[in-house]
Amino acid sequence: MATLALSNLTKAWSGKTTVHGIDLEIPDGAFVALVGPSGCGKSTTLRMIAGLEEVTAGEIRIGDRVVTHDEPRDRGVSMVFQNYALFPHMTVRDNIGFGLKMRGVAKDEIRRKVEAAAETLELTALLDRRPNALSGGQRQRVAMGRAIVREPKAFLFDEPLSNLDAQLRGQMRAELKKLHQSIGTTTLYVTHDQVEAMTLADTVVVMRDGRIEQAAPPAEIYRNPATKFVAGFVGTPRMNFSEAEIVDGPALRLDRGPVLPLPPALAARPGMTPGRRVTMGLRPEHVGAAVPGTPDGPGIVEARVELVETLGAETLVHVRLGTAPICAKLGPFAAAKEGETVRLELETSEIRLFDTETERAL
Amino acid sequence: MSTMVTEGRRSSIAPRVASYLLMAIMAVLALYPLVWMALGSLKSGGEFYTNIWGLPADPQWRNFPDAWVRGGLGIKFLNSAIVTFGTLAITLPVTSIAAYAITSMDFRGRSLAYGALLLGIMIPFGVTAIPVFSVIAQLGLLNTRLALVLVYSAQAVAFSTFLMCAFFQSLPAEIEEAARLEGCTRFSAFWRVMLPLARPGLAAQAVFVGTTAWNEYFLASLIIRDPARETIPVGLVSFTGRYATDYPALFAALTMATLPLLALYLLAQKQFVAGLTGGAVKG
Amino acid sequence: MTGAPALSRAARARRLRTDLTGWAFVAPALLLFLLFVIWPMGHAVWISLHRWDGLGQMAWLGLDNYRFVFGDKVFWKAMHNTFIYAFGVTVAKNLLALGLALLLNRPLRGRGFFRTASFTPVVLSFVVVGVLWSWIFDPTFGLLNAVLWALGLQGLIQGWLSDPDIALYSIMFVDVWKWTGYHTVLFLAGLQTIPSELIEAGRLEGKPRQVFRHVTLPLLMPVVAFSVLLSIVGAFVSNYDLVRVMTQGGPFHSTEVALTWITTTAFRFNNFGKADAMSVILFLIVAVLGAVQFLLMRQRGRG
Ligand SMILES: Nc1ncnc2c1ncn2[C@@H]1O[C@H](COP(=O)(O)OP(=O)(O)OP(=O)(O)O)[C@@H](O)[C@H]1O
Ligand SMILES: [Mg+2]
Repeated sequence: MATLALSNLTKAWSGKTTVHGIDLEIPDGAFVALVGPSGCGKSTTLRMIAGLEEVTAGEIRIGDRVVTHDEPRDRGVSMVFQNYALFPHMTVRDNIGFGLKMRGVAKDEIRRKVEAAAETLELTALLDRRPNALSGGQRQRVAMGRAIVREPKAFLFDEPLSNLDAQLRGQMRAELKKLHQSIGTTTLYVTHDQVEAMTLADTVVVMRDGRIEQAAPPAEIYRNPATKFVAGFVGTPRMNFSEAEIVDGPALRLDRGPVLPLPPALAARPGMTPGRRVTMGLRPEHVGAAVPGTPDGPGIVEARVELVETLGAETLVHVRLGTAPICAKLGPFAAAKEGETVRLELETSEIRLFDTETERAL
Repeated sequence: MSTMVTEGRRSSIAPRVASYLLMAIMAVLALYPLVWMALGSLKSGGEFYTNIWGLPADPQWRNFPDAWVRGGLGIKFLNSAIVTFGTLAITLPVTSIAAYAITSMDFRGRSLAYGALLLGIMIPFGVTAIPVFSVIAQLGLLNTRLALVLVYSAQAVAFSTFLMCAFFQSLPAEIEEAARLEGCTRFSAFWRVMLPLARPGLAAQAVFVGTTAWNEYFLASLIIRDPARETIPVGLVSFTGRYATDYPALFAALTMATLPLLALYLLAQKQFVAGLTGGAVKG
Repeated sequence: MTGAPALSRAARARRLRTDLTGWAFVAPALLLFLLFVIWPMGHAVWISLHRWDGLGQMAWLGLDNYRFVFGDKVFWKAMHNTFIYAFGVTVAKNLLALGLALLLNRPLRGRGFFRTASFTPVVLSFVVVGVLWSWIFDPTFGLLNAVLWALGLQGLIQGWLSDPDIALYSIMFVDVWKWTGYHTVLFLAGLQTIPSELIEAGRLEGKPRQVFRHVTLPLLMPVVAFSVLLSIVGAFVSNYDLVRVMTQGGPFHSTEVALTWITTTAFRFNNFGKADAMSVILFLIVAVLGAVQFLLMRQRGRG
C-alpha cells in the first residue's frame, strides 16, 4: 500500500493532447473514483499509471518511488479491466496465481494465497474451471482475485462492473466496498456510473476533456459543484439550469421568468451587481409542489406542465420557467397532468450560481 | 402464399435430382483418378495395359515393397519429413513472435518492418527460383536439405506473419496487458500467454506451410542433385524417368507418396480446409 | 528542475528498450525474408546485366540480355502460353467453383461428402497429379481414351499430350481439376456470409436467376475478385510443375511456359544472365497482379 501521486501528467497522441497535465494525490488507503464523459481521458490516465501507455510529460509516484517510465511489471499495481482480460487457457486457480508465479513465489505459498483469495471471493468451488465456463459475475470475481492476491501497492479499476446487469452490479458494488474496507489498498476507480462513484469513493474526481474539473468528497461534489459541468454531470435527474440576471436586492431574475431571492451567502458576495449575467442551478429535488393554500411569495411559481414521468418512488414533472426547462422531483403519484398548471415551490436556499462565461461556481 | 409453397415443392424434385447428378459426376471426376491410381498399383505389368479400368485380377501387393526399394522411397520420405518439420520449426516461432511484436508493441519502425514483410505477400515465389538458386549456390548450400528449409521458411514468412497478425489482432489487447501487469516481460507475455492462445492459428499455419513444403518440387529439383537427399516430389520425377516402363511400380510409388497427406486430410479435414484456404476465407 | 533531464533519460531508456525488443522479435523473420526473397531478386537484376554461365566469370553486357529476351521467339511463345494458361484456368476454375458452391450451399444430404471429395485434389502435390494425369492422357493405355472408346466416342480420341494444338489445354484441364475444390470452399465461405433473409426476400420478389444476379452475385463480388486474382497470380507461377512433369514444354514448345523456358535457359543453355532477365520481366508482370491482390486482401481484412 502506498500513496499514488500524479503531477502534471500529460498524454499526447501525435500532437493531439488528450490528458492535460493532471495533478492528483491519492493518500495511502484512499478510494478515489474518476468519472467523466466518454472520451475525456479516464482510461488513458489509468493506463499511464499502469505503465501501458507512455507518458508524454509529468510524473507518477507510487509510494516514494518515481515509476513514470518503469515497465508495468515493476510498478506493483494491479488492474481490473472492463472485459476482465482473464487468461482463457488457464484455470481460475492459474489465473489468480499467475502473478505470484511470475514473481517466483514458492508453489505452496501460491496455493495458500490463491485459496485464501478464493475463499474471500467465494470462488473456491470454481478454482479448476476455465474462464469460459464462468458467468460474467464470476469472471469479475476472478479478475478481482487476480488483483488482490498479489497484495499490490495500488488497485486500478477501469469500469469493472459495466458489463454486469443492474442487479449484479449493485451486489458487486457492495462487495467491493466491503473488500476495500477489509484490505484498505489505495484504489483508483474509473467509472461511468455516478452511483458507483458516489457510494464507493472517499473522493470523486470529475474529468472533462483531459482536465480535472473538481476533486472532492462525494457530498461536497454534489452539494457544492465547482463548475456548471460538474453540477450537471453529477446527479440524476440532472440539475436544472437557467440563464438569469442579477437584479436589485440583490435577487435573481430568470430570463423572461420569475424573480427569485438569493441565498444569503450568495447575496453577500461581492460582485453581485445588478445587470450581471449568471447561470442559475437548482436540483430537481429542490423544486417541490407548493402546499395547497400557501400564499404567493418568494420561490412560489406557477407553470404549465409539459411532461410527467411517473417512476414509482417519485414523479418527475417537467415545466418551463421563462426560457428554461425545469424538472421537479415530486412525491410518488403526484397528481399533475400534462397541460395543467401547477404551483411549485423552489427551495431558493439551494440555488447555485455559475459565472456565465467561465462556468465556475460563484 | 400457399400456391407458392406447393409450386416450390413440385418443382423442387427435378432440381434436386439434377443437383445430385451433378455432384456425383463431380465427385467421380475428383476421386476416380485416385482410385484408378490405387488400382493400377496392384496390377501386374501385363494387366496394366490390357485391363485398363477394371479391378486387378490378382492384386500384386509386392509392387509396393518393390517400388519402395527401387525408388529408395524410405530415404525420400525421411528427407521430406526433415525438410517439412525443419520448415515448421523455423516458421512457426519466427513468424508468431514477429506478429506479436507487430501487433502488441509500439516500437519505432514497426510499420516499416510490417510493410517490408507484407511486400512478400505480393511476390510470386516461382519467379524467384533461378535467382534463389544462384544465392544458394553462392552460400555454398547447393544440394543440402538446409537450403530447402531456409528457402521454404523465408517464403512462408510473409504470409504467415500476416495471418498471425490478423489472429493476434482478434484477441483483446487487454489480455496481453494483463499479463505484463502480472509480472511478464514482453517475451514471457508472448511465450506464456499469447502463444498458447494462438494455437488455432498455429495449427492452420502448420497445415498451410507444411503442405506447401511437403509438395514443393520446383526449387527442390534445382537445388537437390544427390538422390540420397531428394524429397518425395523430386524422387518421384526421377523414378518416372528411370523406370518409365514399369507402370504398376510407378503407381505404387505414387500411391505411397500420396497416402500420408491424404490420410492427414481425411483425419483433420476441418483444419486442412481452414489452413489451406487460411487468410482467404477468414476475412 | 534538476529532475527533468534524469526523467527524460528514463523515458528514453524505456523507448529504447521497447524499440530494441521489438526489432529483436521481428529480426529473424525479416532476416530470412531479406536473405532468401529480397536479396535473390536484387542479385538477379545484377546478373541479368551480365553474361554468366552460373559458374565462371561474369561479363558486363548492360541491357543486352533484355534485348536477347525480346528477340527470342520461344520466350514470346512461352509468355503467350503463360497468359493463355493463367487466364484460361482462372475463368474455368472460378466458373466451375461458383457453380459447385451454389450447389453445395443448398441443404442437400451428403453435401459434406461431396465437399470433401472436391477438395481432395487440393491436398495432392503437382508432381503426383502430373504423373497420374500423364497416364490418364496416354493415347494407347490411358484411362481417358479407354473411356471414350467405351462410350462409343472414338471420334474424340486424341493424343492429348502429343498434339501441339491440344497439349496446353490438357495441362490446363489438370490444373483446373486440382484447384476447383479450393475455390469452391472460398465461394462457399462467401455464400455463408450472405444473410439468408436477403435471399428469401429476393425470392419473394423474383425468379431464382434474378435473385442470383441482383442479390447473391453482388454480395459475393469481393470473394469473386479475391478468388480470381488468387488464381491468376497462382497460375503464372504454379504451371512449372505440371508442364515439367507432363510434357517438358513440348511438343515443339507448344506447352512451353515462362518458367520452364527460364529454367531451360539457365540449366540447359547455361545462360543465367538471360534467364535472370526473363525472371525480372516475369516478376514485374506478376508483382503488379500481386499488388492488386494484396490490396484486396487488406480491404477484406479490415471489413
Ligand atoms: N491509441 C490512441 N491513439 C490516439 N488517440 C487515442 C488513443 N487512445 C485513446 N485516444 C483518444 O484519447 C481520448 C481519451 O480516451 P480514453 O480512452 O482515455 O477515454 P475514456 O475517458 O476512458 O472514455 P470511455 O469512458 O469511453 O472509456 C479519446 O479522445 C480517444 O479518442
Ligand atoms: Mg475508458
